[in-house]
Amino acid sequence: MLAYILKRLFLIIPVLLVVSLLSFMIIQLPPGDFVDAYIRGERGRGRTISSEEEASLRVRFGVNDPFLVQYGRWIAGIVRGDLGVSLALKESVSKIVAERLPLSALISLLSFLLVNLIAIPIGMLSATRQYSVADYFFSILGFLGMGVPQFIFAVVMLWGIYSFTGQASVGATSPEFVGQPMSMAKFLDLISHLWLPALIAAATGTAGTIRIMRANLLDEMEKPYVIVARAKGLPRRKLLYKYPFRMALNPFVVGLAGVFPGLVSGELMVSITLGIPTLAPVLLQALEMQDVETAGSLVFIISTLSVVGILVSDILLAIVDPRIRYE
Amino acid sequence: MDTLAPLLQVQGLKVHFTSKEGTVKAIDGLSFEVYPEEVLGIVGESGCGKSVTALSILNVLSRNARIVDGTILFRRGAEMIDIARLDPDGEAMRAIQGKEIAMIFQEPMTAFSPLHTIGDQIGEMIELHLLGTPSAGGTPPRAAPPPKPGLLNRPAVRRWVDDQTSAILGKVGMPNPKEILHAYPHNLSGGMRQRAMIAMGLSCNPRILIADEPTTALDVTLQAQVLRLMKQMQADYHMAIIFITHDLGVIAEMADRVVVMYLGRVAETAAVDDLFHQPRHPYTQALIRSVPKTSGPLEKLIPIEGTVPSPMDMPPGCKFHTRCPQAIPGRCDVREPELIPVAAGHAVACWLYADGGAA
Amino acid sequence: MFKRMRLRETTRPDNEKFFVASQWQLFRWKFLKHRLAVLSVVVLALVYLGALFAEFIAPYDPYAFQPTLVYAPPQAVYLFDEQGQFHWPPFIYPLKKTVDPVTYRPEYTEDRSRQLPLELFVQGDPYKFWGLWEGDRHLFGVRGGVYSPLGKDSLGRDLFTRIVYGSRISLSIGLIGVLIGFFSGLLIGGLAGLLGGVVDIVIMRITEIFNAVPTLPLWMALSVALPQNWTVEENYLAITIILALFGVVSGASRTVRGKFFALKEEDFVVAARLDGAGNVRLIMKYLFPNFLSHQIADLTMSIPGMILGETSLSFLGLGLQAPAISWGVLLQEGRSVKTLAENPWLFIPAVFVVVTIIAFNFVGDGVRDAADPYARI
Ligand SMILES: Nc1ncnc2c1ncn2[C@@H]1O[C@H](COP(=O)(O)OP(=O)(O)OP(=O)(O)O)[C@@H](O)[C@H]1O
Ligand SMILES: [Mg+2]
Repeated sequence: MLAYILKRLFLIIPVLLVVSLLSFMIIQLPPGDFVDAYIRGERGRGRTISSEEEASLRVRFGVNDPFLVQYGRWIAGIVRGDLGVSLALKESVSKIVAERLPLSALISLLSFLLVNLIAIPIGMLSATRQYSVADYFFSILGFLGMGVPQFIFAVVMLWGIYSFTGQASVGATSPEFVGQPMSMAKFLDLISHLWLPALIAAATGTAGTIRIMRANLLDEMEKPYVIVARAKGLPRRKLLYKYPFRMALNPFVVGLAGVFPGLVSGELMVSITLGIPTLAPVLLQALEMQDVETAGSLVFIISTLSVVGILVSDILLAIVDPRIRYE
Repeated sequence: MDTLAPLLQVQGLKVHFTSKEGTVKAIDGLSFEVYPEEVLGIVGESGCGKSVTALSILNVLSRNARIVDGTILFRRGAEMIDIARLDPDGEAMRAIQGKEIAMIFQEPMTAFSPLHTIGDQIGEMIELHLLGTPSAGGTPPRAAPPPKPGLLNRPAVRRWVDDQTSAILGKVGMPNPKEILHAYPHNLSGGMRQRAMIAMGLSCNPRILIADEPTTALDVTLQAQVLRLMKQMQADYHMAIIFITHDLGVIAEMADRVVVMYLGRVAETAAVDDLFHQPRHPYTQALIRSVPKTSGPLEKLIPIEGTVPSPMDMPPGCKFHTRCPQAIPGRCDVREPELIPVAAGHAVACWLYADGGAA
Repeated sequence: MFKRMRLRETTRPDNEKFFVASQWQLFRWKFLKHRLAVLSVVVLALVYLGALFAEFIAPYDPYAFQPTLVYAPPQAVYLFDEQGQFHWPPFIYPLKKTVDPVTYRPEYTEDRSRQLPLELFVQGDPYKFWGLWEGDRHLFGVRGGVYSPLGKDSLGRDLFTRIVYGSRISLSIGLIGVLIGFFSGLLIGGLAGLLGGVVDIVIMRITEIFNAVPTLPLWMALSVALPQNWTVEENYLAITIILALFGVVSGASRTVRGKFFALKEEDFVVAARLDGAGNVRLIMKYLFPNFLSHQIADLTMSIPGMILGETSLSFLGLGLQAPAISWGVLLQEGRSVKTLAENPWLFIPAVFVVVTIIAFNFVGDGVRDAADPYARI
């Protein structure tokens, strides 16, 4: 098992490498570089910068170095936890990340739990009562869930909140907890604020997972090993729990690993729309202000969140499915 | 033991599948008997309904299947139970499944759940059927009497079930049964898995063991081993075996009596020697001709002409008439022949043997 | 598994054509049985027709603004007047504007003293159909007044008109993206499937990585990285490529490659290979028709993702920008919940987005069912 986890950990290195390269390319893509942006900013404040000063700035920030050298420096900074200072936000990016990443992760995790808690029982119900009223109801609901974009859900929800309370955004905590250190009460307050956004972020994933769950369970129930179990004379309810349900709980069977990137994207959209102080609004702000440096780092961190999520579901899979472990 | 009364009587069985494309009449008026302690071979081409027959007897057909007609009478003591009328998930049926009638499935790889250990999958059957019942009386006798079931007694039960399971695994020639208990199916080789499957079938000392092509998934040497094992087990356990195969060679080796099936019906039934020496049905004759002989001069293999009709669109009359070289126009393509006795224990469903013929 | 007595069907060469034809018929027949899919095809046909003939179907010019009718609500169509008298053609009442003295918000009431009959093929804003033919006839409209079936936006532009024009971008992005996905998927997946070995491993690892990364932040960042001075068309193309590249391509490649490997093992391919058919011939004749249906089903299912991507990006203000009209751009107006609550019709483009996406999902479902009766999803 440990060997398996180590192997998976090892395997995510290339993934992170590609993701970081992509993120860094985003930083490098726009014409001009950091120094250009800096000079523009200073000129805006009425300070002129001589060409010598510009050259020395270029050397200092290493913007003339080859791509890979700059990339290496950037990565080294991230590994050290030093993400530089955001020009647009006038704040240390590391500090922003430290403040907001936990909330992003919490919402993603919450959505992941919700996907499981909702999709698995409903999928089971639909499969064991195929073509029943409940089955049709959830199938239609599933199609709606897949068809309605998360931000539309979020806007509708915000609209509802606004019409009832007059509030135009959903905070992460009640006012009395703002700035307070984490406590049980604050955590519960957080959850009570965040479950609805998490539910919206989870909507698409849940709808998809219900469908996959139902289909796979229907397949599993016709598999030879289930017929064998029936032929043993096992009580049917016990049989259902022990064999097909157990199999359907296999995250691989349900395709849960594929759900995570979607959840992270969903979290982004929902948090921006609802104004929840996660990394998402900061990313949008950085992008709007053309602060690609910060944006690249944030894209990398957000993508890493998703990769870690996949890793976690892979390990879950290995716990549930012995075939993976022994491979 | 009453050797004359059949243990199992299938009469006029009809099983239909409903699918998107239409109704498949997989079994269409099938009748045969199984006598205690005999090996009944069922042979026929792929798709003729052998597996469906087996699943019907165990009442574990898939949800789109329906037994539309006929009876499957199983004799328990003086009682005759019609399996076809039992609720497939009811208690009465479950008491028969695994305990009285057990089955060895075609593909040992898919017949075991990949997520549970071998010991778990065999043991649950032993626990279900043997726990709490006094030693089943059959041979071989159980080493230790079963403990009382119950939550408090759980460890003892577990130990007893494990002992029973490893005993049966040892019986089928597993090298280290204690370890196999904790193995998952994918840890075993194909031959080992099939042995485990046989062990599972035998574990509750059934009176009928259905073996559905138990050796198709194995290579030739393993096939021979498994067949030998099954023969020995039958001798030890005194059960009847329904041996399903498409391989006449295996039938010749294993069976006492044979049922030849064609498209969900019996074409011919006879003792194994009679069948091979005096095949009556043109289909049986063609089958035997199409098997390569391993000894003797090389004969020309004659494949059976034509194609099997679709089970959704069956021809009228005798279902074989479209491929039969001796078909009698106006008779074979009009009415379906019933089984006609031609000798002691030998019956054939063919108009060629109907004296006077039909209208 | 080789079975000694299994009888093989002998296929005559003239059977083949029949087989292909019947497979298509089978497909159509099965698809037609999926009622929701058929209904969805009709719905999609309607919205695509709207996109195609936008100039004619939309009653106004999408950029024509009416400062006097800012945030005018949708107007009802009447068959009976206040005296209960029946009118044909149906008519509308023009809007009368008053300004709230306190909030300065415009308020609109129907001017019941005038009736404007709704007419077909009315003369209106001039347009250049597909940029080629000039015209000024619109499918419907009123003379001597303004009729906005779905209301007006912050500049007094007709929302229905803008939705119809916006569908051009929103609906074509999905199609173009899918085309890109289809061909690059065929190329990449085909390469992996044909060459196998290291190439296969590398390609598959890379597509796996793309599947592990959330697409939205990448889309967001890349769309911002586009040069500022690009035209609407260039931006549109770039966004489409970005959406396709990080959405459809990796999935399509995996499907193609998977099918390739599965089919390589199939009896009929092995048989054809034994018959001495070359690789290219083999691909064209056997593999291609075989996974085409799967590919189409998969791609139909990926269109909604692209539409969604464009809409989300534009909604955030990162995708297409103002002079361009797309459903996402239109929804930007509803980003402030206060505006939205006061002018709920600004949210109508979302209805079009949702209906289109659901319709595509149903069609994809139907195609998949028809292509592969054994797949249950
Ligand atoms: N679940 C099902 N749904 C529809 N038709 C079925 C189903 N199971 C079996 N059939 C049909 O019933 C017929 C008999 O199938 P069966 O599996 O009994 O054949 P078989 O004799 O065991 O063949 P084989 O030697 O290949 O195992 C076939 O025509 C098959 O298509
Ligand atoms: Mg079979």
